[in-house]
Amino acid sequence: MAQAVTLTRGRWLRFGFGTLALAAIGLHASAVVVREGQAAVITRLGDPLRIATEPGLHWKAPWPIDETTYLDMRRRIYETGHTEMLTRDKKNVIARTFVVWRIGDPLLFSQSVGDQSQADGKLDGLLTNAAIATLGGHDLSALVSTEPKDLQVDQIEGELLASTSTVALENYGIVIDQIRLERISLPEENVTAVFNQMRAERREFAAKYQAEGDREAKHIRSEADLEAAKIRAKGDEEAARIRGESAAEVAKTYADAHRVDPQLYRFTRSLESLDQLVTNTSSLILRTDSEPFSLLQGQPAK
Amino acid sequence: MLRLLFALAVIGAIGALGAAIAVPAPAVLDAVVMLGLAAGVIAGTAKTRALRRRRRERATDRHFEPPPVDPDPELRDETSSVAAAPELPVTTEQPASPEPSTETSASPNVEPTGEASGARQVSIPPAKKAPVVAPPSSPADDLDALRTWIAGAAITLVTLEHVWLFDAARRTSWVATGIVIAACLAAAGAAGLAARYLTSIEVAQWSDAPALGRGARVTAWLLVLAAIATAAARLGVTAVFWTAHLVAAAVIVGACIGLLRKRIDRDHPAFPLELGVLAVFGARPNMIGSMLDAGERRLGIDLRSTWALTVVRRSILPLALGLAALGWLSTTISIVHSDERAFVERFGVPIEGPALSPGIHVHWPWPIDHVARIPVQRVRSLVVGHEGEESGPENVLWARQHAANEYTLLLGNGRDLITVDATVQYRVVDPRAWAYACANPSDALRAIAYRTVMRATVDRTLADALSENVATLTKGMRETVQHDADELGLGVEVIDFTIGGMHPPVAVAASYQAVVSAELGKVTAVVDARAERNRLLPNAEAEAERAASAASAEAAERLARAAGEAWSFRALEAQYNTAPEEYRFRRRLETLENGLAGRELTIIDDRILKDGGGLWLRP
Repeated sequence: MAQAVTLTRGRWLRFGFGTLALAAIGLHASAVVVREGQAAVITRLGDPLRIATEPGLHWKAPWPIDETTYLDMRRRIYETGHTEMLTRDKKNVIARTFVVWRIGDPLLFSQSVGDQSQADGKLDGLLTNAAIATLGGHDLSALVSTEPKDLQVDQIEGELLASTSTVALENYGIVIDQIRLERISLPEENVTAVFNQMRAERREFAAKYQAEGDREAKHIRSEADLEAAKIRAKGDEEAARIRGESAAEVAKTYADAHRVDPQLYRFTRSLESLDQLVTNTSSLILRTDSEPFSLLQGQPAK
Repeated sequence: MLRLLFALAVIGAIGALGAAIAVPAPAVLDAVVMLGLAAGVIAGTAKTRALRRRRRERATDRHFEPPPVDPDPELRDETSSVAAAPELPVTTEQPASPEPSTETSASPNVEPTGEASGARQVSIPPAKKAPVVAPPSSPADDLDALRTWIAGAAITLVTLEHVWLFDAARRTSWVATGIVIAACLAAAGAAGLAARYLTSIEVAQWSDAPALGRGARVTAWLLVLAAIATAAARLGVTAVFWTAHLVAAAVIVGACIGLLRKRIDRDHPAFPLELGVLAVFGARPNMIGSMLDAGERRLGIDLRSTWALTVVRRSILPLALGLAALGWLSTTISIVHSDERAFVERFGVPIEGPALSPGIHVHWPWPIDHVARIPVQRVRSLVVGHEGEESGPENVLWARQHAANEYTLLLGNGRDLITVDATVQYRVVDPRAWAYACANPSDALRAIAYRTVMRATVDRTLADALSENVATLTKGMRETVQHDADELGLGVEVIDFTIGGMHPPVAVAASYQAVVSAELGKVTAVVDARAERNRLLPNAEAEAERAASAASAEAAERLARAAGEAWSFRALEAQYNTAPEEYRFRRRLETLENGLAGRELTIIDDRILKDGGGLWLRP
């Protein structure tokens, strides 16, 4: 009896669990939870039935009758690759843009694009095309210029947006909010040339500075030489002046002294000269009528 | 019947070999070996039967005895006269009944037939040969050789499998895998069918049937294992397929060892079929049941009635349910870490109110509530320009490549390029905006930062950019990034925009540095020249001064001398004035003395001239 009761209880338990599990599976199969920033495209046997854009709980018939595709409705940034293009003045530039987009028409998007990664490819094609066309209508100076009035970056971005937004919305159900230029550079080949040019420019500057330095240094040196020569000359002049003055004074001194007795001066000066002139090697011939040789004749001279 | 089985086994082996080439699963190769082994065993059994029949025929020829019982159903079909007379030992061995241990299991099966024919052989030696007691050994020896050969080959093949390089990473197409799995399962079905048929045959009719049936069952299980292993190989679950291989290889090796251990009795030739492994695994269609049977036979314990096993069996369902419920309930608790803020989404709708602060929060379980956690407090940074691969503080030097791919921008003059490295630091201030405004907000911020740098360089020349005041520049850039981020509603606060480096591209940086060097060189040259000048001028001044002072000294000396001489002259004059004549005379003579002393003199008498005489002087 007890056996039978437990058996029945077990059976009920199992039945209850089974029902619960089935109910849970059924609920899970027919509930559609749309999160904030999402939309769900519900299709019945492949036909789009409705689009749930409001976040919250939605219902559908269980699989395989109804199926759901979730779409991310938030804004999304897509950066294109670097695209080489020609400006109106035939200059090659590499530009990179980024686009801010979101799904505007979930149904069209899910039909014509599918999923997010496909959208990136589509947008890339669209943007590259538009960028080539738009930049081809502007000079390089519209992109980069030191003159603020030449720069037209905002205008170019506006043109890009205008040329793509309609196509994107009508063909792919994509709303493009912004297109922005992210980078402007030069192609690899041109970069080498630019580098060479920049180097040449720098070399020019370097040479200029070097020459200037040389010139200035030489100038300073020659000035210094000149100045030194002048100083030396001045010194020489001074010396000469001093010498001259002293000579005059010497002469005056002598003259003053000798003027007292010119005869005596003449006499002593002659004697000194004689002393100087008659050297060891000179041979002299003297007459006996001069002192003291007059003694040789036996009588002193008069 | 045996021919059919043999053909099936051979076809199966060949097919499995093909499958093993197509699909890299060692268990399939095991199946090849197992089927080959089965084919060999079947061939051996057929040979045994032929041998027995020949002997029996011989026996009937000689003795006209009633034809012995041949337990071969085919034979019975051919010779319908044969009565099914079950022998006693055979009847005891029913497929379902517990079998004796492996060592003894061979004898009951082999003995009955062997006894029957052997008895006859003992009584009547073979005809053509000499009357030796031993029968011509060739058939039994052949059988023995076959047995050894099959077992050896199987073991060798299983060993060789490891030489075969299994490229577990190689993924075959699902179609090929599916075909192989289906083929394996079909083969397993066929083997199962054969097993069923063989076990349904009365032992009395064909004594080998139960053993063959067990073999067929094990083969069927191995084929199922091969199918599982193939699927596992496709899914990349290597553990499963190596385990499957090990199990299969163990079964095969076990069977081969069983085969090798049973020597064939020359007197009672019979191919050994009672192999231990087959008895353990193949005694019943339910493999686990069969194993439990074997365990019970060996150990004497009925594992089925063990208490522990019963408890486990009974509690497994509530345990699993309880664990599942616990796991589900754990989704009601969320822990928000100290650097995070979180908010609850109920059926996808974010609940209004302030964000959840750090701590434990209780909410509805999955799938009703979902908690989105955003690391808010952490300051994040993103790099503009170069992505620094190397870790640690980086040296930002102009002339050294500091990132694999330099980020160069075209400058305002349309010719020059500049390299910029910058870092943006930001923090999420509005977690909801960060989560819902944009699918890839950090990418968005990065793109904005790149654009800001670009806008800052397009209207500048390199000289402008290099001489720009970094503080005001970065301040402006920070404001631009903040503005653009707000425009997209990213919910971030840009804390700082730092420029790590703004310089000419690495390739030309050396030239720029050369200019700086030249500029410095210019200054150096000027300074050098000035130094020389500073050396030259004082030199000259010194020289001039020296010349002047030398002249002064000279003048002073001469003047002094002159003065001295003047004074001495005046003194002389005083002396002279006292006696002028004497002085003159004395001085004259003194001078002559000084001048003429020791001199060679020629003195001439003055009268020579007075008298008009002449004098010739010869030097």
